[in-house]
Amino acid sequence: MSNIVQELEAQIRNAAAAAVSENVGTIKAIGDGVARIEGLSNAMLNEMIEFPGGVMGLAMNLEENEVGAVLIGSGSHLREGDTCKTTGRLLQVPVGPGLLGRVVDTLGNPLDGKGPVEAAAHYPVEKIASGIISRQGVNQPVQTGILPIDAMIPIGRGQRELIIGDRSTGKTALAIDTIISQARQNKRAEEQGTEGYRPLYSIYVAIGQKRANVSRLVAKLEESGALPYTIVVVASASDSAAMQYLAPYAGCAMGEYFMDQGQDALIVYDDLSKHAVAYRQVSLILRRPSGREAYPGDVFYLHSRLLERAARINSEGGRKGGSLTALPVIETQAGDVSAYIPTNVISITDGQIFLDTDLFYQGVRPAINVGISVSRVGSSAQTKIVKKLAGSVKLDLAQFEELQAFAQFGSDLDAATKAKLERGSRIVELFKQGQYEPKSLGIEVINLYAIQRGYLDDVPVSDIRRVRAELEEEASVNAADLLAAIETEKTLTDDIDARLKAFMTSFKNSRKH
Amino acid sequence: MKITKDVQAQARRLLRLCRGADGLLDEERVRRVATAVLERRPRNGLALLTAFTELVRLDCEAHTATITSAVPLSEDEQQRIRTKLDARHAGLHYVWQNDPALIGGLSVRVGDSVTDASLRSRIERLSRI
Repeated sequence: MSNIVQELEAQIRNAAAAAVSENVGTIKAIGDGVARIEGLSNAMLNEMIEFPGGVMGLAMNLEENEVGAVLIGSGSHLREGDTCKTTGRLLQVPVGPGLLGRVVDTLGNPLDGKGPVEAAAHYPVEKIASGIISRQGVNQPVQTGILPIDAMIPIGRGQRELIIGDRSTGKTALAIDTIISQARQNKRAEEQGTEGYRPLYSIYVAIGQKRANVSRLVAKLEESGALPYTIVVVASASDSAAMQYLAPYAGCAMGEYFMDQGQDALIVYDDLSKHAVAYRQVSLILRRPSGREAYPGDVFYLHSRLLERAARINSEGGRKGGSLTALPVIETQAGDVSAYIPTNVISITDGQIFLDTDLFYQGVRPAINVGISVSRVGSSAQTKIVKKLAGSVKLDLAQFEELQAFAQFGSDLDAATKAKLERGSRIVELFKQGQYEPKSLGIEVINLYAIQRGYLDDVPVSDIRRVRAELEEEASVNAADLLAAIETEKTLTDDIDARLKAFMTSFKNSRKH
Repeated sequence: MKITKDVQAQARRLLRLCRGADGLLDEERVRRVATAVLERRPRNGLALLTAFTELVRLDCEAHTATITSAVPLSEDEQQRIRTKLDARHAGLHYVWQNDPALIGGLSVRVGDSVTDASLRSRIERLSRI
């Protein structure tokens, strides 16, 4: 308490000081959320500019006699000739565990009516990513709870994995399922008091989305109990382009706080195509020269500096070894991954999950196109038991897709080809998964074990999902200790192998009767 | 009439030519440049003159000290302010203003930096805490 009194006293002393020096400027033109200001000769890049009425702006263009500033908030009361001044501060947002469970805007102001946000600190929105020395390789998994991803395109903590696909192919659903899965794991570890468990907090940044969608999403997170572990940062379609442009950086600063505290965080940028569009708007109004598709020249740097801030920090030299995993989302037009922004972000990230419209309408959901989805660093972080069981799944599936095209023409197939086709169609069926139903590690292992060891070979393809549901129910009811053993061991020991075998055999036998 | 990059660069060059040895604008030279441009009518002459005028205006503003006080200052007080400001900035023009809304004290603006020592600004700062 005495601190606050001292702080207040210092503030009063400051305010009562005889004179203050300020650098001022005059608005020459204002419109479209951008002000051109004459004067402000001492303004610095990205410095906050204070306008009358407490409105803030961000100095983005420093020219010979002029400063171009974007307004943060409404500037409808500002007029040409108004005076503004520099503040000497960078744009900052509140960060800390107090934001978990909250819905905030780009500046960290609450939007959920749950009262003021409790901030542990304030972080600058723009920050240079951590250096080379402070980093280490990705070696811990992010258990997404989505079987095809965990089996074939594993994501590690500190990785940047792009989710890319056409509109309504389930990109957001994939990200939300991952967030829900993290929340469930966190909750379970809290309840069981698992030692050495590192909780993974999530940040969801909605950029340029409809408010109705965001509200539905928040309700879903709340319903599934994931909101207490999640920060939702919203810059909706009705917010200014400047707010949309800054939102991912603000969310990233909130994630960096957890990383600096030696904790793990996951951030979803939904989506970066709209972010690029918002930045293009700001740039064009600032009269910066435009390039391809009218995007400004620094649109690559826009995303690279953002995604570079996702990192896995080592624990040497006073660092605490946290991580920030990024899942950027990109929406393509008619499956065109070679457009400007998609290629940029593909080249920045450590792999991508490509969602296919055709697959989606064939009923393969999540509609992951395994052929062009990759994870460049995640495999070293993959849980050992999953790695062992899923080792050949990707190959099986790739061969299946190739053979499937041929099998349409000929009816006479040799036994080996037939077996591959049978196995492939069963894997595809097994990898189908409902929305908001992320699987635990144990369940995933049982699924993979069943398919890899051929326990599902005699089940008709159309029955796979029903049988799988029975299998999962049986496992969670009667083999809870086996699931727990898998969760703790995380490797395919002889003991676990034997117990899995026994469980599968008994399950098969029970089905025969 | 468009002020192109070339014209802007030319105007800047003209402004440089108008500066004396002390780096300050020489009024006589500015007049001569303006007359010369008008007489010779070079290509884009009007645009050049407009750009040049704008640069001169900005330079003048940067060398103008506006002192606003709540009550009129005495000759002696003005002189003291002049001595202090001249020691810091060269070639200042002075504008003296009265504004009772300041309540007390004064505010000094040189170019785009403002030193506000008025009672009003102190009250405003206090109200923000």
